[in-house]
Amino acid sequence: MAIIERPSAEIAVAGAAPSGVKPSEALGVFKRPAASTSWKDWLVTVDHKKLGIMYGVAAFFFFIVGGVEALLIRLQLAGPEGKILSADQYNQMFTMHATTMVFLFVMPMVSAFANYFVPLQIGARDVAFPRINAFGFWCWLFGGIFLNTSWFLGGAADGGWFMYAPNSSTLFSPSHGIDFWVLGLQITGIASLTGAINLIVTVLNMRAPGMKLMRMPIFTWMTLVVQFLLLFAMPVITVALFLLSFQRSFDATFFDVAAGADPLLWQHLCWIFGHPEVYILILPSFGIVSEIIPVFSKKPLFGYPIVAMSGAAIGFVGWGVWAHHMFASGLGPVSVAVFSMATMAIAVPTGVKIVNWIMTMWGGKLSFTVPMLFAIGLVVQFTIGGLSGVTHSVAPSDTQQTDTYYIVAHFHYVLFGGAIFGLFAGFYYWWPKIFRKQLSESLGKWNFWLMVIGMNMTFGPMHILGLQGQPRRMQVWTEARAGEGFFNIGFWNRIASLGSFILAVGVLLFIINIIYTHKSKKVAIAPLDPWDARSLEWMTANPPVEHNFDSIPTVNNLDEFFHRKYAEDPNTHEVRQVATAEEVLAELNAHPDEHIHMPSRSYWPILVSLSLPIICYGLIYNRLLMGVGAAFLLLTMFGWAMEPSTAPDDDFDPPAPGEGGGHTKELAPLG
Amino acid sequence: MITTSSKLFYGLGAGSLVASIVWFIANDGGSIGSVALLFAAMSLVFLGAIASFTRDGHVLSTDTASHASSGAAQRGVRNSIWPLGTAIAMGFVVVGLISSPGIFKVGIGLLIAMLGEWMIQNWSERGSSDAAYNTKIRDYVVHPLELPVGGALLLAVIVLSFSRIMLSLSHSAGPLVFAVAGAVILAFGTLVGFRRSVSTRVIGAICGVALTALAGVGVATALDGERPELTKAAEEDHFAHRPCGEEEEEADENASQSVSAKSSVQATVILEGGMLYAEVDGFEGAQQSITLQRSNPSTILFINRDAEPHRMVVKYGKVVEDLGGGVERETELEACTSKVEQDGQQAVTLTVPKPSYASEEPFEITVPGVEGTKIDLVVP
Amino acid sequence: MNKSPRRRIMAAVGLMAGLVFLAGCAKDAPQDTWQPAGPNAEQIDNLQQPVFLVAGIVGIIVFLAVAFVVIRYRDRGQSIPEQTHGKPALEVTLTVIPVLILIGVAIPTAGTIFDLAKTDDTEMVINVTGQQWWWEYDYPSTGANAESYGVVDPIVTSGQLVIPENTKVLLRVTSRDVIHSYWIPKLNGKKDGVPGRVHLLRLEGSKPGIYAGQCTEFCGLSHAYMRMETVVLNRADFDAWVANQLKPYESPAEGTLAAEGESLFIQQCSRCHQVNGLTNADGAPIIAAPEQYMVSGAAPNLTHLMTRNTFAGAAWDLLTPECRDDVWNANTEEFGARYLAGVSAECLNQKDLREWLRNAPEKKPMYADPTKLQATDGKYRGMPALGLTEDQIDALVAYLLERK
Repeated sequence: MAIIERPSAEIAVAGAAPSGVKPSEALGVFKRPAASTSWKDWLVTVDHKKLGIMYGVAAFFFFIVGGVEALLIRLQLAGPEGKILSADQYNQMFTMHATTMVFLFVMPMVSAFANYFVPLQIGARDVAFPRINAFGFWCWLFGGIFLNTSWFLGGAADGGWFMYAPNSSTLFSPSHGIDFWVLGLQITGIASLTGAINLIVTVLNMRAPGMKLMRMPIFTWMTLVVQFLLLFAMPVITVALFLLSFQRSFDATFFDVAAGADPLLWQHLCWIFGHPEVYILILPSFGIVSEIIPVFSKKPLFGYPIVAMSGAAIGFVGWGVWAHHMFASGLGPVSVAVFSMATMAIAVPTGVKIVNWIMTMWGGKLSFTVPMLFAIGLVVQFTIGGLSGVTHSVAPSDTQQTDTYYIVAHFHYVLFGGAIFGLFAGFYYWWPKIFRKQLSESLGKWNFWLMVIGMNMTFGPMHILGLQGQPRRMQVWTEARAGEGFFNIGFWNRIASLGSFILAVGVLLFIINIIYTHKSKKVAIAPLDPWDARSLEWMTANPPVEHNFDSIPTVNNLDEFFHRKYAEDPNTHEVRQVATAEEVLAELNAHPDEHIHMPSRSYWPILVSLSLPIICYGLIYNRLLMGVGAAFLLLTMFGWAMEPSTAPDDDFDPPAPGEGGGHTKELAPLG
Repeated sequence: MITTSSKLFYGLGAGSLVASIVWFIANDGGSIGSVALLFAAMSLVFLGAIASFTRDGHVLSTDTASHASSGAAQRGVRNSIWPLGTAIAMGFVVVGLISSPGIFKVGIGLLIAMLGEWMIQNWSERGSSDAAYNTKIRDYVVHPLELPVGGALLLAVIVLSFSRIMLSLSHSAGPLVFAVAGAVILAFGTLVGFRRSVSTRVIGAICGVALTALAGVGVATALDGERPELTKAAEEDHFAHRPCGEEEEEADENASQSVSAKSSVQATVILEGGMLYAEVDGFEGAQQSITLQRSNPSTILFINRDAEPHRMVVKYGKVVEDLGGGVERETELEACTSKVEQDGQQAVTLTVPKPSYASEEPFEITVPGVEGTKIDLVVP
Repeated sequence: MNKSPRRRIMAAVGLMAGLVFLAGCAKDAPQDTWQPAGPNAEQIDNLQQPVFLVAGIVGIIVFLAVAFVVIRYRDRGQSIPEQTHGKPALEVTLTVIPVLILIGVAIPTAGTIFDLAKTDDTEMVINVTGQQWWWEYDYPSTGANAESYGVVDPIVTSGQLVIPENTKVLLRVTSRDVIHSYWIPKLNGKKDGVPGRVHLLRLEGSKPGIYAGQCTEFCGLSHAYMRMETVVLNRADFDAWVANQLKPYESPAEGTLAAEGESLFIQQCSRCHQVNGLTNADGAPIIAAPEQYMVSGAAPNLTHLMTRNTFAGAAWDLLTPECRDDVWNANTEEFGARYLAGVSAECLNQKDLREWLRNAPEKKPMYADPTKLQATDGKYRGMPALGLTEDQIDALVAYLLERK
């Protein structure tokens, strides 16, 4: 602290302006954290790649949590009158299974891929707002942890992830579970919104020279569509959650019938968010397989503009179909008919994608690596899910199927067979990019086949269960209504429960594969371009350097990287290799950019987001704590606002002993 | 080293020590006074020691040249708003003392804030000979408090003013003003976005004027009060079920607007041509009898096709409360709409606690002023 | 079974690869959605079977295409293919085909939606009110109900909805607390009962029998135990049922165990449960006051409990399994008589009923612990444990057995 008096020696002439000493520009309360290799660096990083990895690791943890919840559900339903879970526990279990899988696994896992690969795919050095990116991650993580602490504080939410009013009011759910759920989702919602704005700006403004929108990799395209969906969908759920939390915490009467309210308000809000949410979950996986299928077919994506535009079309039409979740809610025949037709319409752009994937493979040179297997798994299983979707777009048919296991089967084929298979394809495909080593192919094939068998054994029979009239969200099923013969509910419930454990073993193999790959000395470092890939993210080191590219490439083609490696004879259409990946990279890095300008690490994102769960605990338990949290929020936001995004050199902590930090200075004039 | 100010402290310390001894003797071993004086002596000696150690806070007493060039010596006094602020705060305190404790508390808070600001500005002016640097260190210390608190206050002013304005505007003007205000702000933002050359001073001035205008209109509308429907609603406990009371003189033409749940009513009761009849979903034609489930919040909609304004009255028995000591209180259960103009409509939500066969008096829907027509209410 | 060819095709295509299901003469679950027993459900079935078929065929085509591509174009060392980005004509064709298929599906769908919503040919109206965790049925005594079916006084019942055969019954579905959903798969699709709203659902059974259903909108703790049954009776049997429901109350004979049960019922049960015609010592009618004790403000009316075959939200049978099978499996001619016989002392499912009377919340998960009712202002959701002795239960069972 040198602010009281400066060394007199530096002031040459009394009264004159000081020369030689420039007052510091830095205004943060803390000095900026310096680069380091310790775990602390992960807390303060704003690097999109590190944030992507953290998203991925945390989301995978929640995948296991949600998976264990699912296994408990299946154990409970393996036999009649199950005794493993009480009714209360069962209701919490299926509520949290859905919430965890949707909000704490698939969405953040998509964020992980988007964070890591969108800047790389468009040739950017980072996202547009790196600190907001970090803030989003911490918000999501703290929100997710907050949500799950309810298990230890009197029980989790028990109203189903759709949380229909009035069953969600304190009268019908007196524990704090739903309060945790509402506030936790509110916090994670901030992450989605900020992430959406960040990625939209990044994609629209930060593409490499020559990368027109129609030269963007399809994964980036789908991410862009999804971020727009998030941008418009999150405010709806935010409003709904605010109404619910005011109803629960401050005795508002938004859904109280005796006060003249209509509980259907909640359903409309929930599904206006909830339906686009389905596309938020599935479109990124469509993007991932649209990257993978061309690579392993050695052909460009068939009908690239149609695939991109059908994604955008799904994004638009997705807003006009929400009431197909409410065909039994008493909307009246006109609304039902309109939403029924709109739902059928959305099948068209979805079908187009499947056709295009098959046509991409048609005439190709297919190699069945594990990522390709998962991608083909998605194509097949999503088709089943999509077709069963068409059967209940027929509204009268849906009144027989909605809220039965048929629907459970449908959306698990879409979300597990589709979205999650796409994510696993992404894991295997991009693993060497992120972690330098390629996951074992042989273990990967076991992983794939066990997951395919497990997934179809678990969710396939649910079609039968649903058509045999077994409703969803039932803690027990009874022998008296199970029926006899081949289609009896008891037998197929047991098959489904058995399948869920095979599925779990499949997922376990993935974890074993990771451990084996990284522990075993036998697995060598992967080559620079292990899959003979096509897009820009492979045109840099594995893993990419902090600034992604030494020199930003100029893009002349869709599949730029492929076109730098291969040349096609314009007459004979013969394709031959003209350069190896290493040569392409060496050529690109021959003239590195000068003055690469990277954002600086910051303490503020994690601190600001830390204040949110404090406020929320305060709201539930003690209003005083809420005030403390709010004050903390205000102060940390101020600290952030005053901090320049790129720090001057004199605003850094000294490096930890034994580490040569980038930015160091022994004395910082301003604390 | 014995410096100038340390001499004073040492002297006072020695004096206190002597006084302590004198006190002890004079008061015949009375300890409290002497302990206090002894404590004062020790404190003064300690202060003297600090003064010695810091050489009276001189940079370098011996180095007169450097001393003359030190920040403190070069202190440049800047303009200060804090004396004025302190005076205003004092005013608040005085007015508060006379009028209300609320103003007094605000005054005290303001006084502490103003004095704090004054102190820190004073301190910062001794920081160096560089006025810009001094401003910066002042900002560095106070901004973390000033800006969040100021921002919160600013937001509070905007939110409060805007909400007062919206509450006083009429039902139809409200959305219009809301939309126009939003459009204007968006347009202004777009304009600024496209013309980056506009100086921040101009933008600041425009925002300042807008804020002042908003606050002014806000205060004016707050004094004016909320729109009549809201005031009425508040008086009536926001349309909650209430005893019917006297029939109003005139129809409440605004009330028809509050009906939104038309599609999901249990029954629609219509007064037409001097006859009362009901339309019930699922039953064909005009009904003279409605079946309502017991204990179920049910909404009945009343439509008045008569030229005269009327209200609908639903009578559904009575409740007997045991007040203890053998005293019972009977309350007639009835629900009414307010008076409905021609072709107007009003809904009433009621929950019937007891079945109709348990009551000696019939459950029925009537319209006062229209005799000889009623609708029976059956509650099984 | 006329459905079996269609079912075979569906089973083959819609489900897991390689498994071919033979439907045979399997007796499916009572809630099978593919075995309609009334015109409404039949209409839905007629619409959905072709849709399933088309979906199945499309599915097969896609799988065959994938299989072909995977086998034909696997990497056998062929050269890198031409880097073509697509063929517009092919793409347009492959987009137009699904559009045409969907238009073909959409037109009959719209027709069926409006057909199923028709209410102008209604012959009977019944109010159906859901609450945690049972359904109440009340038959209004107005209009055609009174004129053609003899419902001259309102009938309030629960557990089993009884309707006449080949009659267009309109249910006015609503709820007293949270959202429930009324669903008898063999008679029609489901419709939510939403508090504050009245939703209309048509039900018509073309063959006497019992049709099972289940609440399908998640409604809290005991959702899984909120079941329902709809009983279709031929016209003569239905008239007999109505007459019995309107029969005046008869007190048990003095000095019997049932008479003991009656006074116990007045003491313990009539706070919430209405038995029409029950009077106190002064001869004044006893009106239950569920609005004081229950969140929903309602409890099942037990006046004719033993004419129903189920209790506790249709979660358990009042009949022993053998007697139950007798009724469920009776042929069309005998069914009415067996159903109207009600529950006799020999057929009474003593085990479940006694367990229920002993400690109801232990048998069915409910919020009925008197120490945990802060949020509901002391009101119960579901039946609390009454702490009855075995002798008292004997008396109550004897009394209830006479509620026919």
